[in-house]
Amino acid sequence: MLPSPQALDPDCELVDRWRAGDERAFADLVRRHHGRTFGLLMRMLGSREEAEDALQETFLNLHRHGHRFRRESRFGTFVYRVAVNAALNRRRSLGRRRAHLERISECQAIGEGGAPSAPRGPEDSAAGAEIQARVQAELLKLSPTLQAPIVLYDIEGLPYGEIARILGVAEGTVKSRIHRARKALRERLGDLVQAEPEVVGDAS
Amino acid sequence: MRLPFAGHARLREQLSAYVDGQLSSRELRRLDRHLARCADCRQELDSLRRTVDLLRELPPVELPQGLETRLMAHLDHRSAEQDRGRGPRWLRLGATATSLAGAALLALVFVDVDVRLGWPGDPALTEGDLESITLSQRPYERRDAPSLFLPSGAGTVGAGTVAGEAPPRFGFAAASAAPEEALALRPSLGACLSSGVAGGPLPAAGDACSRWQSWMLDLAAREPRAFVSEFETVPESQQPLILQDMRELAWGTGTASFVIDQLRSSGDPRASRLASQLAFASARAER
Repeated sequence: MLPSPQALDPDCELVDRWRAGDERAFADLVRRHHGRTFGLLMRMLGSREEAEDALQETFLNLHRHGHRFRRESRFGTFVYRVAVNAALNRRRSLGRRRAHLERISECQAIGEGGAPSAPRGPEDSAAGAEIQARVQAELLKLSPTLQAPIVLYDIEGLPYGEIARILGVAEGTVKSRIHRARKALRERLGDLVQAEPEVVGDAS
Repeated sequence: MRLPFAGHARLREQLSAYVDGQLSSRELRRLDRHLARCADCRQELDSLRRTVDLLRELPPVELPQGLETRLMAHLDHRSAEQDRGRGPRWLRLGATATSLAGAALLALVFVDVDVRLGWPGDPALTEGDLESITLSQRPYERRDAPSLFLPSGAGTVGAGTVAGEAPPRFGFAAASAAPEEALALRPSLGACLSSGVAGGPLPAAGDACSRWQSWMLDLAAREPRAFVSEFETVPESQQPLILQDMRELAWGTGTASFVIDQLRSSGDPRASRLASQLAFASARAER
């Protein structure tokens, strides 16, 4: 489990050094957080190029505005907050600029194309990869309001409270958005997640 | 007794919280009782569970090769540009044009962005963030403005690369070396070659290697012929690998189009050929 936001921030020392003017400490913070942040951006944007651009934007913004970071949350949360905003921003302008379809077809290749990850279990078979690509593609079609909470909760595994801080909404809102997002995704995935009809008649 | 219909709709909304184990024991008991009676809700619960399982089974995202290098180079350059406001003449011109255009654009989109971003009452992120997010999002800034080369400032060249003296801001920066300083950076080429540049994650030698590549791109932009001569010191069998890495670095840091133009306009056929290879942008998409 992730530590609660109130728990000691593992980045505390580096953040202090950076604020005292040590740029190398910032470089260390970048090294520590860039991989995870890229993963998040990739889930939200679906294209490596977009995710990488958003990643650069995220850390550049952090560097410029890091002095605004306060100890109300962990530094990692702050990074995610800036990254999520970069992604949302990008998704909105993307939607206007060009058909989202090409992004989606690109992301469908994530599962099988590119360097495949090491097999983890039976679900990583060819059929598994196909399903994963479909899940990722449908995830990208969710509205940004619903997509961000479900990515942060079900994929990144963050607690409600931290997601609320990242998105700047109340915890109750996070909860209801996660529920709505799952229902929307369930509709999109159709037969993949359809429950088997019960054999025995119900008890009512 | 509660009306079955009203209870059903409300309890159904708790199914996600049920999946996540987020219900109080009282809510849990009530929902369990309802589930025992309602096949519809059981099916709903089942399909929600399957959806969540599929999400959690997604494999971790692969990091593209050279991601960290490109990120560091980008930060290095952009922050240095911002701090010092000096550098090669063409860079200064580019930066000025960019910021003028940026100011105009900002005036146009600021209100729009302010509404869309939706950070109500946010204490940590304010208008300054909106501004920078807006600015750094512009495609022409990413693609066309040269953004790799650091202003020479900190004496990072020469013995620095080898002995590690006078480290640049992020321990990465490209050194704006004069062509005659190429010799000092050459040992980094050895590091590049022996570590198998294009394969696997950046090895420990990556830092020196990256510096050499950044320096080479810089050289390509300023002295195309010197760049060609230097490039030809790379053993032929290794050239494609080196070039592929440089291509990624160039596209990743938004310097590619400038470098390519410089190489093409040099009139040297060897430089033009290298330009074409760097221009093969689809390499990014293939990764």
